[in-house]
Amino acid sequence: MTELWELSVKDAMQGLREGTFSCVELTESNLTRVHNAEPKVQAFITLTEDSARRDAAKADQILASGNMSTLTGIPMQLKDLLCTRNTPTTCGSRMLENFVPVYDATVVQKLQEAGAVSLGKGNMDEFAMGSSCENSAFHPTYNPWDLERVPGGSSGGAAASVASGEVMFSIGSDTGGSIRQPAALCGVVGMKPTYGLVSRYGLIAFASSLDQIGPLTRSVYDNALVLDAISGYDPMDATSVDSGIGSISASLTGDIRGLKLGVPSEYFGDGIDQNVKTLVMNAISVLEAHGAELVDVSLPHTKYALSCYYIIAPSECSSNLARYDGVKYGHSFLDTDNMWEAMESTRGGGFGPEVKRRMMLGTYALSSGYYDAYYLKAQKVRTLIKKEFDEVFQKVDAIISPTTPTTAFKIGEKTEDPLSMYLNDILTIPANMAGLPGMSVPCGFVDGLPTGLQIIGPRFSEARLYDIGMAYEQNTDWITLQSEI
Amino acid sequence: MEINNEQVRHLASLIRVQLTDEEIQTLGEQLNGLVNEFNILQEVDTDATEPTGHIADLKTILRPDVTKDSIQVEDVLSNAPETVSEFIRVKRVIE
Repeated sequence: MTELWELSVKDAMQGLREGTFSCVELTESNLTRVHNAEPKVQAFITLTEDSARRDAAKADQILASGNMSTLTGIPMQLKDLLCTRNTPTTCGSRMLENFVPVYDATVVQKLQEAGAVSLGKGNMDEFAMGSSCENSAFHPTYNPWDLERVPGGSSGGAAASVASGEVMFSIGSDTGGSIRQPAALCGVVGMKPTYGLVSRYGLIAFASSLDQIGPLTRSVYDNALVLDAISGYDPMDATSVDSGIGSISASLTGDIRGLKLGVPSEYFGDGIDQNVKTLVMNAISVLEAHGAELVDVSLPHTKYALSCYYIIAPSECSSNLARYDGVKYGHSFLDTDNMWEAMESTRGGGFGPEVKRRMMLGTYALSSGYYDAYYLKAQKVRTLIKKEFDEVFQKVDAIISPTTPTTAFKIGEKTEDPLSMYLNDILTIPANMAGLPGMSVPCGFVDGLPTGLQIIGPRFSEARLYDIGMAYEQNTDWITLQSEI
Repeated sequence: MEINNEQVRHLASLIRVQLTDEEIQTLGEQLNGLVNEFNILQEVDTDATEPTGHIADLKTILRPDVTKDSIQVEDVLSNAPETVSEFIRVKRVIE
């Protein structure tokens, strides 16, 4: 018999609507799953069982009154950099270990209004800096498909919790691939929306010109349902956009006949695992067989995107993280009367190695004498990367590529060499640089490990990306496979 | 150009982070490796290119001047390491 936690969001909504089971029963099923899987996967930093049970009971009342909302009673997880009122929000860092926000992020508020039930906060690389979840100050998260391997990052807890069935969806954030890369490595669907589609109010900032919030789910349709619930203009975020996009999920058909899909040669070059390439080429053939037209395209500045990103993102982070001074909130070193000493001890003890490395790198790129050569140069190359996408999208409707160069790697394999870790993001970074939506959809397995197909489109083309993802998902059976946790 | 330990210490002082000698050594090596990699950008011709700071179409939006509740003082203070009555206590700034 199918357990309730195994259902998709769509099927769970139907079951609730028809009275087959209650919100409380659904939440209890997921909590049981959490208790069974969590000792192995460790996808949560904080579990909020009591409030989850209260919210589920409340959702049953709403259901009984006939005012069901879009996600009423659906169990979810929130990445631990989304501010949650009265629930600790650590950002995966000792710096915020005891921080309890006094307001909700806009996304959290919207999900509460939609009726979703939070089971807790998802593990992540400290301040979202990392590609393996090993930079969490608390514990690593383990890939449900192979517990000796990383789930990817920084939204590793989000991807692992969805892949193991602990929750029906999780909310992550993506600055250079932090939704798509773990989604690919854990075999789930992850969407990084267009910059500005989802409000960043209450998202603890890493690199403000690149950060974007988005959903991780088991199916493409579920992903669109959740995106519908969290997107929209927000006066509290000056960069949020009134896109005028209505419900995306309602209009999805999976019909891709006549769509032109660009296949960029630069995304299939050196450093991309041959088996991954083969699976993605197979996926592309499936799309072609269902009516898409394939077009060879070139994005020659792709090879500069990684360097460009690892100058711009650390520069922005060195500025954003200046606020952690141990005075207003967060970790604080109090055993001295000297202000500077207190601040330096606070920050030296509160931040982990990767965060220090990026702040140093960013400060170097911004400092006198190096600004023009690094920061300004990177901003100019960013212009070229964006322009190149604009030109390609004159010719094609979307771009198809692998999401990651390889499948999930072993825990500890890349922690000693920052550059080898950074190379994980080589295929996901360009979409962030240009503010474009990008999605990863599971496209098969290499030696039992999931692989992701990346679909990138012009700004606000999320509906089209979902249609492409849906066309692929409907004509393959990867979605039916589950990890044996 | 090589980033020496002296420069690493200078960077650490700019970001106000206390580092151990071991951290300075490791960070120095890693920063050099990364910056070398980033020099690939110098081969791109950007003479006629404007920089991009962000891709949002920002415009000034005015909101109606309406009075509304803000976060309460006691809530704001609840996360402060040291408080005195309604204030956050800080270290002496002027000696």
